[in-house]
Amino acid sequence: MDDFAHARLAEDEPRNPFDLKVLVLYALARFKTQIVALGILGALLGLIAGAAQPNSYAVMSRLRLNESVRLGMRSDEAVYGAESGEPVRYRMSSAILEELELLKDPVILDRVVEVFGPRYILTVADPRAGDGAGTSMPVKFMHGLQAGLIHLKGLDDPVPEGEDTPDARLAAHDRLKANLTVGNQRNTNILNVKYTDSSPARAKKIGDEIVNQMRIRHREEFAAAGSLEKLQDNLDLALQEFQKTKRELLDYKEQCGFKDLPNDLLTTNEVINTLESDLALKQIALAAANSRVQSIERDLRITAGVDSGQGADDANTPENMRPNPERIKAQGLLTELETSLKGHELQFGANPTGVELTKRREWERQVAAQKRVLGETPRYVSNADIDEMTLLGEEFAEVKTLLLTERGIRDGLKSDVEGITEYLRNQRDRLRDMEECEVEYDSRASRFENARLKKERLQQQELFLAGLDDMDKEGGSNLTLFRGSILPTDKEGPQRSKPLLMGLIGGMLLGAGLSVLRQVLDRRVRYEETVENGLGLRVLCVVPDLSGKPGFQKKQGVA
Amino acid sequence: MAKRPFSAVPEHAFGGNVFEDQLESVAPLVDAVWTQIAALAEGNDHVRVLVTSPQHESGTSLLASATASSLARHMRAKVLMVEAHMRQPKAASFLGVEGSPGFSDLLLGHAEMDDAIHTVPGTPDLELLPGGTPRPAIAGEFATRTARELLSVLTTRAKYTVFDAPPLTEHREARGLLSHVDAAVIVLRSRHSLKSRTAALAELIENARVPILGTVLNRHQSDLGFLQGALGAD
Repeated sequence: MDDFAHARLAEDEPRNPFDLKVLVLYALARFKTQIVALGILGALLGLIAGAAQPNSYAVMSRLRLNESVRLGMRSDEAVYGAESGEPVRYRMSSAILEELELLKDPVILDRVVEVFGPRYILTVADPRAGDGAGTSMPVKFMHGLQAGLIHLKGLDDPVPEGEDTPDARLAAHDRLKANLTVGNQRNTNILNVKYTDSSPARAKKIGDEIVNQMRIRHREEFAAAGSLEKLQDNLDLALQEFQKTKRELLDYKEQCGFKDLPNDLLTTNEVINTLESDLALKQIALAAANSRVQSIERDLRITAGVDSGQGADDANTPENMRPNPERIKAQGLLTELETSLKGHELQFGANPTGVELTKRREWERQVAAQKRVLGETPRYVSNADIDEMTLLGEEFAEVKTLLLTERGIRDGLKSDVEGITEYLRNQRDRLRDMEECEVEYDSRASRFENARLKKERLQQQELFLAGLDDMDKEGGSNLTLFRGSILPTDKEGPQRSKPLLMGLIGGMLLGAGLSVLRQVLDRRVRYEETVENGLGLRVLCVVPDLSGKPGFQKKQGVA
Repeated sequence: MAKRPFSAVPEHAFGGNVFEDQLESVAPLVDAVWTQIAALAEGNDHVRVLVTSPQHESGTSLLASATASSLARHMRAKVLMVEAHMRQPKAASFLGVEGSPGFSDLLLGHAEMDDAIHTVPGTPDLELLPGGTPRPAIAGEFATRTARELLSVLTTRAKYTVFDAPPLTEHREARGLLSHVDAAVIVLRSRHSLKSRTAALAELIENARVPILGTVLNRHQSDLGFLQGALGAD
């Protein structure tokens, strides 16, 4: 039997457990009653929702945008752009588009909120207000129902916490925005402004105010006079600021006592540098003078010791021997040379260049030579040798004179050093005062500079706006009322059929969705497609349900 | 077809000739089934087909009877229908013959084969071995040597043998029939048969290496039936 056709569908035969025909078409047919019932239920809910909405009335105003000289300016720019090959941005419709953008400015609606207050804007009108003797009973009933719902939702008192709260103002702004439509009549410079409200009188009142505020806003934006006026106010303030900062700066200069602080600072710094340099030289010279004085004083002590026969040196001196005067001289000269060399090093550093290097080398050579002389000269000599030395009256007197001279030089240098040090201290104090002043001075100078720049910028803008103002006087842009609003007598909405239709469609869609879901979740064999696509078994034949036929009322053959 | 006298209807039937009328109504609708079975005869002396369902109350007996009846009438060959339902035999009612003795009695050795097999009135080529005396099935009764010998005899008695079997997923003892048949037909009752049980039954039959000829979707109600009048269909 293997070669016999197998009832199992071939493996490569496409199976589709999610057969759209079964899932959608059959499901819709199977649950048609439920779908229709849900649709009717949705429609009923939509009908109630529609009936509960209050009537709405719309007012329409038309504004005409008049072109200005500025438009001409933009046209010129467009010509320039065309000649230069750059993209031409200007189009005739751009003015109206710019105007539409301008009229979206939230300031307009904020001002309307300021005029009327949030409560007036947000309160939903009582639908029964317009009912009269001629109103039919069903309409009266409907209006009563609507009024009840409005009261239930609290729309008759929308701002119970007071209307001076930011939330209330924001809500009123949003309501105005939602109820307002601004559009352009095609290929014209006419703008349509439509406002909708639950009360006809209020619709007209608010609509007119919106139009009024739009015109004011336009004037502010496009009339240079308004901008010029504002700018001049700002310029006055800027001039006052300029004068104030200038005065503050001058006052501070006077307070600090420096006429020209930046230059004074520079000069003082230079003086301090010069003084420091002079002081260093004087100190070196003073050290050299000190050294010379000490050397001469030692010489004199030795000489005095020889004359008086007293030992000038210590007890270490060998018997019958005295320190060698030649050596002492050589020692003094060496000290003088070393002091000079040290002074040179202090002044020109460890590695001088050029002439100073040559000098340094010469100093070093002399110091080395003197050290050699000192090394070759005996430390002590005998008294007999001393006797042979001729250190007598005249020579002693010369040395004393030299000592006095050197002391005078040293004292003069001391006085110079003290004087320079004192002057330097004064200059440093002055510099510190200047630096303290400089911080505040810079701050005030910066404020002054900013005020000056602002003043100059505003003055330039004033010139520009004055030019525009002249042009506006020749032909300014304005927004004129082309056709005012009229009090609406017929309601515009709501479209009560819309929620009904939405409810009907929504209900049916919900029913369809539920039907498909139930079909997907069905665990039983129901259709030929279920057997073939879902189970992969061939259906040889379908026997219809004959239980309705005569003879089948009891049961169709079951076993 | 000549109607049988009312007195010939078994007592347990619902009454009168209602079942025979049902058979007459259903028989023309199962052409696709008996033609498939007839096609199996090519090159084979005997064709044995099992008709079963995933659940009870699916209409297996009626459809098996209608198939056997149509086969006998159209092929003019000997057809034997064996009713393996022993708890609630019903085929005798549809074909208008005595319900006992039958298959249950033969298996227990309480009757002779010639007494148990009845020729269906009006269809001389069709014989029925009814379910017999109603009784619960006995586990493994189709696997006994007596049963196997009996089945061997039965399956060679006629050109076509149609077994009306209970749901094999529930009646384990009836699965033994699968080793005596050449093909199987599954009867599904629309809006009643579970997909899971159907799949399990198909797998069971295939595992026994018995080809499934196909399925019959019984008691089908079209969800698009409400459109038939609108579209002019019958």
